[in-house]
Formats: sequence, C-alpha cells, structure tokens
Amino acid sequence: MKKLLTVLLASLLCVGAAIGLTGCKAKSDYDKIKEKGYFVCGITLFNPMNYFNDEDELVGFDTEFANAVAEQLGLKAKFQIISWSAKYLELNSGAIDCIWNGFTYGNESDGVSRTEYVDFSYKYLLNGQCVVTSTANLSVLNSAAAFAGKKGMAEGGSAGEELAQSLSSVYTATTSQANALLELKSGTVDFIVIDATMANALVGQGDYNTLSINPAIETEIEEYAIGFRKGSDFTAKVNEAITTLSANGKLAEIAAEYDLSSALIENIGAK
Amino acid sequence: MSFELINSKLLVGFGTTCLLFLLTLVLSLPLGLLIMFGLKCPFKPIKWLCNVFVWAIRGTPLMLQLFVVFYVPSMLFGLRIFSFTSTTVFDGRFIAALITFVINYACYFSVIFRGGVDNISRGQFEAGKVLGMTKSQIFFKVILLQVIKTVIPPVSNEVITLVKDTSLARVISVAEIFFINETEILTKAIVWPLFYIGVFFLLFVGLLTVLFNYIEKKLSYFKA
Amino acid sequence: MAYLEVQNLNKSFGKTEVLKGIDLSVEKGEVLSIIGSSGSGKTTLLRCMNFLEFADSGKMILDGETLIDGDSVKKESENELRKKRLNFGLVFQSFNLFPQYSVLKNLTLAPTLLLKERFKEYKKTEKDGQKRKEWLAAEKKAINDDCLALLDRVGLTEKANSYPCELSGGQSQRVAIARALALKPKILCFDEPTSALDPELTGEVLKVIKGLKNKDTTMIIVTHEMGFAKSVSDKVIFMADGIVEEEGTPKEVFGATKSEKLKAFLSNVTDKEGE
Repeated sequence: MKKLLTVLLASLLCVGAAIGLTGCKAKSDYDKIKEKGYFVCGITLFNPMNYFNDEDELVGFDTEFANAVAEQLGLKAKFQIISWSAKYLELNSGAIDCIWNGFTYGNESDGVSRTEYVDFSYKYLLNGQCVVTSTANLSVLNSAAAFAGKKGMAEGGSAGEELAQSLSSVYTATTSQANALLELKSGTVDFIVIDATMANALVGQGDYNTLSINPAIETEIEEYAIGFRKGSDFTAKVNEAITTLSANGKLAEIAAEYDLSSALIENIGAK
Repeated sequence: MSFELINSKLLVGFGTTCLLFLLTLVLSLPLGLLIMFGLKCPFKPIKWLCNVFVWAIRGTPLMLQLFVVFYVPSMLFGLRIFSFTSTTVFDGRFIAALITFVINYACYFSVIFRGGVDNISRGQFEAGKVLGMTKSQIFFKVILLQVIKTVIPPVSNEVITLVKDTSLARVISVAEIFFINETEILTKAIVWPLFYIGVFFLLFVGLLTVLFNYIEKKLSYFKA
Repeated sequence: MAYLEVQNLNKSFGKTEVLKGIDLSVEKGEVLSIIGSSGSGKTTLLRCMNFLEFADSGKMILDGETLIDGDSVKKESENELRKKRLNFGLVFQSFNLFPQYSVLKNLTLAPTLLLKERFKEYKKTEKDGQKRKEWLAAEKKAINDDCLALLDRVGLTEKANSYPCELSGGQSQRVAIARALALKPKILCFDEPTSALDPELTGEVLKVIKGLKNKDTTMIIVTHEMGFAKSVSDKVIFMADGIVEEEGTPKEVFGATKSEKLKAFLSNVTDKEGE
C-alpha cells in the first residue's frame, strides 16, 4: 500500500514538474503583446481622459498618454469601449490588456482593494471624487445629512460608488460616468458621484450648464494609475516608459493640453 | 455634435446590427435544420444529446450565453480565441456574438422545423418511398418545401425578434447601434437619436414583414 | 410457379399478430382483389409487399426473383429496398399527391429522379458532351410524353398544369393512379382506393381501374366495393384475423361461399349497401 502511494506521489510530482516546465516555456504576457504589436486599453468615454472631439477623433489625456507609451515601446495602442463593471473580466480574459481610463488607485465600493484584482502602474494623476447636483438644488443639499434619502447614482464599479452609497441608501449604479451626468441632467436622480477630473472638465458648461459641483461634501484626494493583469511583465515595461515620458516633459505637455497640469504627478518613478 | 456626425455614427452602428442579423440568419437556419435532424435521429444518444443541448440553450438567457462564449474560453481554459481586434467589424467580440446568436437561434429554429416536419403526413414520406426515391430525395424534393410553407409564420416571428435581440450584443461591447448610441451619443445628453433608431428598426422590420408576406404569397398556390 | 408468389408471410406489431402465414399467388395480367373487414390485415399485407412494413418471416417471389426471404429485408440497404419497391406501384387511400407540384410534375418527378441515376451510368459509356446532352433531352421528352399519355388514359389531360388542391377527390385519385403507372411497375397495388371518396366520385375511379385491365397489367386491389371486386377480379381473397379465410374466382367466393365468416361479412356489407 505504501509502495503504491509512493509511486502515485512520484508520478504526480513528475506531472506537476512537466506542467511547471511547460509553464516556464509559455510566453509571458509582454511576449504575447509584442507578438500582436499592439495592446488594448479598456476605456469608457469620459472627458477629459478618453473622448471623441468635434472632429470625431478619440482624444483625451489617457488616449494621448497611452499612445505616447506605445510609441516608447514600439507598439500601438488600441482602445476598446467596455462596460466598466466588467473591467476585470475583460482584463483577465485577455479581451483587453490594461485598464487605462482614469482608473483610481483605491478600493472597490465593497471595500476590497483594487490591488486584489490588478497590478497597478505608477500613479500619474491626482483626482478626487466629486458630488454633482443641479445648481438649483445647491441650497437644499448643503450638508452630508441633507443627502439622506435622496436618489444617488455613480458608475457601477467606480471609485465614487462607495461615497454615493454612504451618502444615501437610495442608490443606483449606471454603466458609465457620462451616463450618470445624463441621468442627473434629466432629473431622474438627485445627485451623482463622479471623478473630479471629469466634473471639472464638464460640469457648469455646455450641455451641463444647469449642474454644479457640490462643495458641501469634501472628499479625499486619490490618484489615477493603470491596471494590468496580475503578475504581468507588461506592468514594468509600461512603468519604464512612464518614467521616461515624465522625465522628458512629454507627459507635462499632454497634461497642459487638457488643463490637467496641476493634477499631474511629477517625476514619476524617479529614484 | 452635428447631425451629420451623429448620423454617420448611427449608420455605422446600424451596419454592424444588420451584418450581425444577416449572418446570424444565414448561418442559423441551416444549423437549425441540422439540429432538427439530431432531434429526430433514431440513434438515441444523439437524439438525447440534441434535446439536452436545445434545452440548455433555450433555457438560459441569451445575455448569459454571450458572457459565457466571450469570457469563459480564456478565463477557464486560457484560450484567448476572441481577444483579437480588427480594422473591420469582424473583431473577436463580433465573432463571439455571432457564434452565440447562431447557436441560440439555430436551437429555436430546430424546434420549429421539427414541428413542421412532424406536421407533414406520413403518406407523403410513403408516397416518396413507393416511387423509389431515396431518403434525401424525399426530404429535399417532397418534404422541405411543405415544411418551409408551414414554418414561415413562426420563423418570421423569430426573425423579427432576432432583429431586436442583436442589441444584446452590446453587453460584450460589440459596437452595434445601441452600443454606439449608449456610449457616444446618449451620454452627450442628446435624445433625438432614440427616435431615429426607432425609425431604423421600424423600417427594417417593415421590410422583413413585406418579404415574409411575399414568400407566404408565393407559397400560397398549394396546401401543405 | 406463378408470376407472384407469397408464402407463409408473418407480421406482428409488438405482441399483436397481424399476418399469420399468408399464402397467395397471382398470374401475370391477373387482377386479385383482397376483401375483409377492417383489422383483418389486408392493408398490412399490401404494405409488406411494398416494403413500407417489413415482414417478420415468409417468402415473396416475383417473376422468379426472391424479394422477401425470411427476415432478410430488415438488414437490407436503403438502395436494395428502393430497387425492390420499384417492382410495385401503390395507390393510397388518401392519394398522397405532392401538393407543391403540378399534376404533370407529380407524374414526372420520380421518373426524372431515376433518369438522373441512369444518366450517371450512361456518362460512363458516353464521353461526347453533345451526345450526352441529346440523350438526356430525348429521355426527358420520353418521360414527359409517357406521363402525358398516362394523364390521357385517366382522362385528365386538361389538368396537367393544375395543382392537387384544385382537384376533386376522384380526380386526385386518378392522378395518383397515373403517377404509380409512370414507373411501369410489374404489379400495381391499390389500398382501398375509393374509401376516402364521396360515393358519387367512386365511379370514375373504379372505371379508370377497370380500364387498366389488360394482359400486361397485374393488379392487387384491397377494396370494400364488393360489386367492383366481383366484376373486375380474376381472383378474390377474403382475409379475416390475419389469415386467408377463403379464396377463388369471384363466382366461387361470392356465389358459393363456404366460410361462415365470409357469409357474415358479405351479408353485413350488402345490408350497408342497401341502406
């Protein structure tokens, strides 16, 4: 009996070793990306990070940032609009290669750190969550307590979800931050929580001139970073490129173009 | 955004919708026929397998199937078969959606076809036999057209449902008309395209209705 | 040995024995009528002879060729069965015309499909494309002419381009008879050809069947029309409970009835006809 067990264990070990070896031979994530010649960034359309300008070109800080990194690596960047709540599924299934869309380094709304799901790049941009209401409502919704029972909304799986839920128990998740703005404008919700970068770029002007950033709620400062598959060697490659772009001023140039100079983190990755 | 820009975006999205619809239809009808043969197979294991398959496909939401087809191969088996991109509409997402739709609709069609064949009197098969026809001659020369005639109304129902079901492909980010509208237009607080899209669909379904009426009329010369 | 010999044919459906050792024989050009009450096995006998059902045991020999030998038919290939079936034509009670085809196409369909097989054979011997074309055109024309002639024989030339749904029951059955004849079967079988018809329409069909009678056409007719059986048949078989209860010429069977069952059957039928 003992002998049989030994034989069994030994053969199991052999099989395990064989799998391990083939595992070593398997191509790394970055090898696969190099082979393709491009990497796919999972995005939602969201001003000023990734959006279509009047000429119908995909522009934005993150768009140009990704293109610059791609150039550094001798690759191409492709952009795929995804459903934000499916971002980890998209990433792990290989349908996208990174989450690069004003992705906050922090927690999911359930309090689980996003580092459980992805490997982050260096942080590159400061951001905060921002409560937006209609301008007419500013005087009513003037304290955190006043939000109780009001209809709140944020993008499902976004950094703002936690705040929205803590302000009011009447909460609905939507598919994108842009959608949340639309809902607020049409009056179907009373307040939304979105990224400060986006709110600064859109609220109080153009289509959204009836809306205001609500100063009653103060939020903590957060940072944006790029999310990669856990254990991917692509992260280090992108980090190298970011360090270069930060040092040579290219990143500052892009930030200036999108009015984000004050939010940009300087000397990224410098020792 | 200007009208021209929105119009061109919507047209591109509608093109994808139409392509998804047409390819699904063209591929699912013959596959439905094949599954129908499986459902009627005298060899029990095949018949049983086909029945279970049809049950599983008809018994689960199309949306779930889209997720399973697109994400599961790579998540569970490391096969990144649908992660490729393309300069044309035929990227991995589109192909995954197409495969899902074809399988889903083929199952519905197979059951409709089975009903159609079961409705044909046994005498038609026997008449073919005593006239020395082979099984395939009996099916294709005698039975098929009669089946087509009897299944046109239920099939037209399914086809019209398919037109509208294509919008489900947006859950795996296939850039069909609703996805484009949802991500690029509606978010700019522009709502008139909703009516525009409504008109697209009405025209499309109207066209299909005319087509099916025409086929029905064409086949009205005989009684199956 | 007779032209067609059936010996000791047996057939069961599950535990129900439908045919219990049927023997019969028909000479070439003869008309055999099979009579009997419903459930006596007449139709099953006919269907076994046409290979729509498979006999469990017994023999059937036609023109010297053994078609059924024990239960061998069950193991035979589709193609073998097709060849055997072509020895017989069968006219169904419910016509079973192909509704999507015109009357003429109903007749030409099967011969044309068979022509395709013959053409494949012909192609092996003839390499000249032009000759092949001519051969095929001539054969097609022959089929067409044959079928038109058959339509004339059943008196329906003017219906050649009509569809089955435009025909009366009697006309449909006449087309079905012509369709069965189009393949020139050695034996033409009728399965209660007038049972699905209104009484006033049976006459035209029976007239057509009578008109077919000549030295070359061998027919087996399962029928409930006693008068017709009496006048058209050379031989009559009375079946009851899966066996041949009585057989003979019409005179013997109807005039000098021996079996009690047949006597009861006949009086029953005449009563009904009298009503």
